[in-house]
Amino acid sequence: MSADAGTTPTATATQAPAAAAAVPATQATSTATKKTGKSLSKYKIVFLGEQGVGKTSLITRFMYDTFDDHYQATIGIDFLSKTMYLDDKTIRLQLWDTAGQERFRSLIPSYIRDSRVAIVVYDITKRKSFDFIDKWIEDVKNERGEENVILCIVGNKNDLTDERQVTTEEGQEKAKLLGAKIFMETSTKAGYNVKNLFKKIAKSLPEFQDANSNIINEASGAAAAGSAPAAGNAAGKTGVIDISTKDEQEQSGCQC
Amino acid sequence: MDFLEYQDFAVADTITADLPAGDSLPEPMQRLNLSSYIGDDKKSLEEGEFKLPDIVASDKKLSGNVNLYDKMSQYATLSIELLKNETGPTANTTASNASNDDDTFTASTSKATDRKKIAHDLNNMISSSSLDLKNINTKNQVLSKKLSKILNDYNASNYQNTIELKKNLRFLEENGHKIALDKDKLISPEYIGTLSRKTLRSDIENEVLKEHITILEEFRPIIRRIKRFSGPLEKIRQESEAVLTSEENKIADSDKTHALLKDVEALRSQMELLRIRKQLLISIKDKFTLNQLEDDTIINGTINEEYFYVVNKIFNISQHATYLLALPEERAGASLITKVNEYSGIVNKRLFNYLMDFLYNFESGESSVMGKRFYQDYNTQTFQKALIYLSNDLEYFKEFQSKVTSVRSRSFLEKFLAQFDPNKKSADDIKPIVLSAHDPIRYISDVLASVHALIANEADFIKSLFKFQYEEFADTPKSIIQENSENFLNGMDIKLLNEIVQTIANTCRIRIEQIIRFEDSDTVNFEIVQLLELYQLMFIKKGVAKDNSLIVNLEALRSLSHDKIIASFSKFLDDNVKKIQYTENTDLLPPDWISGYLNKVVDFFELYERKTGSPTDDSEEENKTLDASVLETIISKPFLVTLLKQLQEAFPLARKNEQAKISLLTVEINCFDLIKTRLQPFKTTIFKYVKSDSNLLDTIASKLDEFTTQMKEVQTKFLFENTGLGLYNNLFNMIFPIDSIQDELDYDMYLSLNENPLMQLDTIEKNVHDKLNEYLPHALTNIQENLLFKLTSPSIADDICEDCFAKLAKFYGIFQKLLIHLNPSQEQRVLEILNFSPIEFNMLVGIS
Repeated sequence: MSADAGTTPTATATQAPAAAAAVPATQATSTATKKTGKSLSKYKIVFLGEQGVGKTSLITRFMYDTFDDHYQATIGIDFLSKTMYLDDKTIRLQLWDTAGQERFRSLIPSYIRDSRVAIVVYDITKRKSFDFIDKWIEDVKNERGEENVILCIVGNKNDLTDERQVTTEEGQEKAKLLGAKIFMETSTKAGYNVKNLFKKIAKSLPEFQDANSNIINEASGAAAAGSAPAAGNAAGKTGVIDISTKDEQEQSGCQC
Repeated sequence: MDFLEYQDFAVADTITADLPAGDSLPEPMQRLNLSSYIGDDKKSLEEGEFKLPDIVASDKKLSGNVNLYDKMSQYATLSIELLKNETGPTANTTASNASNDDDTFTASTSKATDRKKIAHDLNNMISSSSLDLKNINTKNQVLSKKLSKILNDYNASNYQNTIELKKNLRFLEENGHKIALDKDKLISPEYIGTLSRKTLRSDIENEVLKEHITILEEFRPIIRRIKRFSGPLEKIRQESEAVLTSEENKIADSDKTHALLKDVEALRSQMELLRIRKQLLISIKDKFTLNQLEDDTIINGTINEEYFYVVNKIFNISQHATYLLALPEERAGASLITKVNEYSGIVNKRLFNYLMDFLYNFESGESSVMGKRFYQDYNTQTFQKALIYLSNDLEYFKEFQSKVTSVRSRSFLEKFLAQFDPNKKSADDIKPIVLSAHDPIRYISDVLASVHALIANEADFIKSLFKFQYEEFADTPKSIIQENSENFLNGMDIKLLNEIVQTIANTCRIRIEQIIRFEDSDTVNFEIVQLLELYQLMFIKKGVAKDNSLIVNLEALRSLSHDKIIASFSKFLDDNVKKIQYTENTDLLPPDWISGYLNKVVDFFELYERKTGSPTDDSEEENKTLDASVLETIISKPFLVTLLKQLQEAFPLARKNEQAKISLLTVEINCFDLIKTRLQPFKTTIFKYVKSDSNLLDTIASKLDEFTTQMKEVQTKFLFENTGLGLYNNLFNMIFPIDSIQDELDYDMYLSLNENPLMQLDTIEKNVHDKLNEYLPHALTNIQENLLFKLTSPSIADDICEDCFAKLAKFYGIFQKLLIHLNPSQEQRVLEILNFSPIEFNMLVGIS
């Protein structure tokens, strides 16, 4: 978690200040995690991957649930933030979208330096982008070590099945090999698995570790029932995204 | 029966009415003798069978008898007779007769049904009476009395009454439920029935009375009002009477009346004024004062919607109070404004304190401890609303702004500096930013990235609190927003962000500057420039203004780094461009610094290309790092000025000495060929997109061509001299240029040469033949090995060679043909002197 994470109210990325938006964060994440209840924890997530794999699309889909067909290369590093409500807890995700172009590569290590989560994205229709995962993961490990970061590997453009060059099994194998905690195939165009990805990431964060163990220990039915009121609460809060929806809801194909 | 009794009264009245005036009491009447009537139980009386005797006819017979009794007795007699005649000695006959009589009586009656009913009743009575006739005479008498009463009074007026009565009874029957009329009891023949019939009248009367009372009750308030008005009305009446009476004196006393009217008018207007004043005072009280509760809210209430409601009221009072100042009496307005200002002062202080509490609670992280209550009292909407209201008080507003800036700036700076503290162990094992000797770029990149993250976070925070969405504050007095939004509220978030961000401007500058100051590498500086340019762009994108000191500092650093790039090249030149000396045996290679400098330039250009992307990407962008002036400094000046000067100095005799000139040209050609070759790859990239008056690479190429041409000239001259043809070449060219000869006809141009002693064959043989035969076989080797050997570029050497020999061969061929043309008789001699055929000549000089 970034050391700069601090006193930001939970306003949405769309800048709609709701009553709930007044919930202030604590000075730093370390303290935030110690304090219970209302304080807001912030987590820095960096998106890595070759040019044109869909890093920005992934963020756009998550943030605004939209998809733009027109490709526009990211210049430098982009920043977006979003408040998430999950299992009766509110966290704020700071999303750092890096440029895939070679000329901006030198900037990226400085952003990996204080990131809690690194999402390495590849394009399932481009073998080369898959091969470069090793290099990205190595960069992350160089900066953050093996333990201090949650590694995610995401195979994007899942909807282009005819052009697939990398199988799901290959992706899973590589994730296992490189020690990535999360592997997932997504389609930002179809809106497939994007929410699930962020839900999984959130669940992997230290804030949810205790809660997760409780959920695992409980019977599945009870856990499912427990998520229902959380969803209800989230619906009541404006400007807060609820990601406690069930996985099945995400499988509903193309939204474009 | 009651009805009959009621009928009796009616009959009696009717009779009374018929009596002469003064005789009010009815006479006792003889009872009708009905003893002859014999009732018959067995024979039922049918409707219409009973015929009343023709009383009209009988009237005619009794024309002289006007007594009613006589009439009735006659009628009875007639009836009895009829009964006897027509039906025998039964009561039915009587009834039948009566019925007949009734037919005759229809002249005086209009409705058959009524008649039938009456007849039916009568028959019933008769039949019921006839039951007892046999035994009880007294009953007969009663019946006869009643019957006679009925019959006697059975005239038109009485009948009308009956009809009226029936209507009433029908009405009563229809509306019986409203007065709780017990129909069963009423028609019961028992004693109860009798009683109820007796009380019916009183019941109805009671009901009627009640109705009347109810109606009268409705009139009571009207009457009361009328009575209340009656007093003043009476006075008015008296006054009017008095006025009317005084009307007579009016003409005489008109002034008095006028005065009176004026008084009345004055009083009326005074009354109106008082009324308006009262209304005004009430309105003023409502509009211009706070009640006790509102007063308490302002002083002690929590800052919430209710509080803002009261504050709105104060603002409204304040706005309206200005109108009061326009009054002649200013005291009210002034005192009200004083009071309102007093309230405003309290409100602003409270809002200021609330906002400061909000901020400090935020900073201290007390929110998590205070829990729910905190979130009720401190939410962004209330915060923003409080800020909007506070914007009315510029002093407090500015004070709050400066507090926000100072508080946030401090924390901003602390967060920035914390990242450089190696002793501070972060919970997340984030490495501190450490300057590494071998990677200064990374250090600057880390510094700028941390600033970027801090700015992004701060912008996020500031926008959530200070970016106003006015639709949420629809109930706020518009004047506040309108007046203040332009100046203070619009873009407040950006303003605050800029103020906060600029606190690290110097700290950030110092850290980056210490790298730049000690960094001499052009490539490192170039990367620094690129980083600074990119981060300036990203910071501006996050809302940092271009004139913010952070951006200004970054721009200054960029400029510094940029200057360091140029300085790096200049330094290289200063360090390496020294006076050079070429001896005879030297290879005439370019000076040493050229290759080093070119390596440096090429490395820089390659890095530039890599960092700035393909030229097509950047074609629209302004090329800041490599502009025309930079290229002028790093390319044009060193090569076109410094180098040439250095070479000129190295060959001071070049102008006089052919050999020195050849050496100079050789070095120049070598240098510019090298420069051109190394820079050629950037022809379509860097040199294309840098906007300058002329393409530098073209200038270099033209310089090379210039030197090559000069070399060709020198070499050609050298060749002609060595072969002895130089003299003749000059001579021929003086008459007509050799290059202009098209065909043999042109040779005539040179006919004048016959007179020239130089053109004598002997002289030619002496000047040319030996030299030619001696030199020509070695010419190619000599040129290639000695003169052009030191040219590093074989292609240039070949080009020069080819060009020179081609010129020589061409002249030789023309010279030979011209001599034959001039001396046709001595062709053999000519061929002996110029003993090489053109083909042989070409072969010897190596041209095809």
